[in-house]
Amino acid sequence: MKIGIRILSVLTIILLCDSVIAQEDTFKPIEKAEIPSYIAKIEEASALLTSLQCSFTQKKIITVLAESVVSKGKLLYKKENKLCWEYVSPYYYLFVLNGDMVYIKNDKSTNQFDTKSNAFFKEISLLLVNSISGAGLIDPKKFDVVFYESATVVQARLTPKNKTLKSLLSTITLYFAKTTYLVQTLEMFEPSGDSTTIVFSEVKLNQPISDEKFVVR
Amino acid sequence: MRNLWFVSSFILVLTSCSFWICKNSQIENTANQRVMSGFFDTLNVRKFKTKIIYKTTEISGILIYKKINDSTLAGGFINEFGINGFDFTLSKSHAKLGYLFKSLDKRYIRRALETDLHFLFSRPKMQTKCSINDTAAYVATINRSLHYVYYYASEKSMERADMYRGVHKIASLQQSSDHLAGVILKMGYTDGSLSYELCEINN
Repeated sequence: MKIGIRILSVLTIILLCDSVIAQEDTFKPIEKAEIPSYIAKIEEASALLTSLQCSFTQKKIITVLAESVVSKGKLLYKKENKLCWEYVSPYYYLFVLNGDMVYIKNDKSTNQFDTKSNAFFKEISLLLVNSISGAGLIDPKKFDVVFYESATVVQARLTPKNKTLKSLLSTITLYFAKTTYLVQTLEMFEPSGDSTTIVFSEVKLNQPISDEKFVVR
Repeated sequence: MRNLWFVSSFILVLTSCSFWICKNSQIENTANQRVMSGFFDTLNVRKFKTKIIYKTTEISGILIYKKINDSTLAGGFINEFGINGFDFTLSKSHAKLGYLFKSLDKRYIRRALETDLHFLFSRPKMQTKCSINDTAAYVATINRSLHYVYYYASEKSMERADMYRGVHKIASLQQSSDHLAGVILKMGYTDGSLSYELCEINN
């Protein structure tokens, strides 16, 4: 009898935990009429953002191999166009955007590119900068956007309209924390089924960052 | 009869190619030799920090592969941001590219990558032993014009091979390993146009 009660208690706890997790993870579609107010909040948060420092974890899932590659690093952003995307694991790799210039540094060498003459780096830089606030990505001309929300998170699912981007990515999903309306997680799904998830953590907002941090020698 | 003639001619052409590479040396037919350490030996996933340098352009990222069955590897190359460069399967006889990044998806790039991936990772069974410049070598014939020549390693930590098209050496491969870094592969075309550097990432 005692054992029966214990099993029942454990089962009840498991079910309760499950329902709490499910409640947190349940996303409901946001009505069309409400979408502009959410976009306004995201744009407002983006406008107020002057700098950002955080850590990130990037997980690439390769479906064919049923394997993943996890990378970790630190990110610095300073308005308008200063970004330092530094991978420290599995190996060192630094991507710095400073105005129109992109610097890439690995353990052996440093390369620099002008985004005005290099379309690939221009696209990458735009995607990275815009993914921090999310505001630049939610562009109905470039993407079909659908919004969902849970108790703590707003989710924007972006389907590219542009043919080139469509061939690379089937969907981009941005998760905004309702407390800051800044991106906390970014998911990119490819037509092949592969996906890349970037989770931002230890976020520090609007604290002074020296311009020196965006200079690569 | 016609088939027999065709097969005999084909074998003659194949063996004569090996003779060209091993000219002026004593040739010995042998079976199932392997000089360089193989990549089909482990079931573990292997990841390499990878650099592909074509003339002045450098592409870097992670090459990952996994053994699917006894005779097939499957793998892919992604850049640091997780963007897919290409994926491939590799059997002991050839490499086959699947997806290739759209702006790179040209027939000649596919063929070059397939050839290079096969040379980098396959370790075919060698049939012909000979001596090239007084160094003992094994020759593996891949197709009518393509041959891999593997050299006996003087040091166990450094292994070496060359790729020949006809009688011309077109690329070289060095494979080394140590306990800390894992396997390091360096392959380069003799004309300097294209090279690969792979350094194993230990999990």
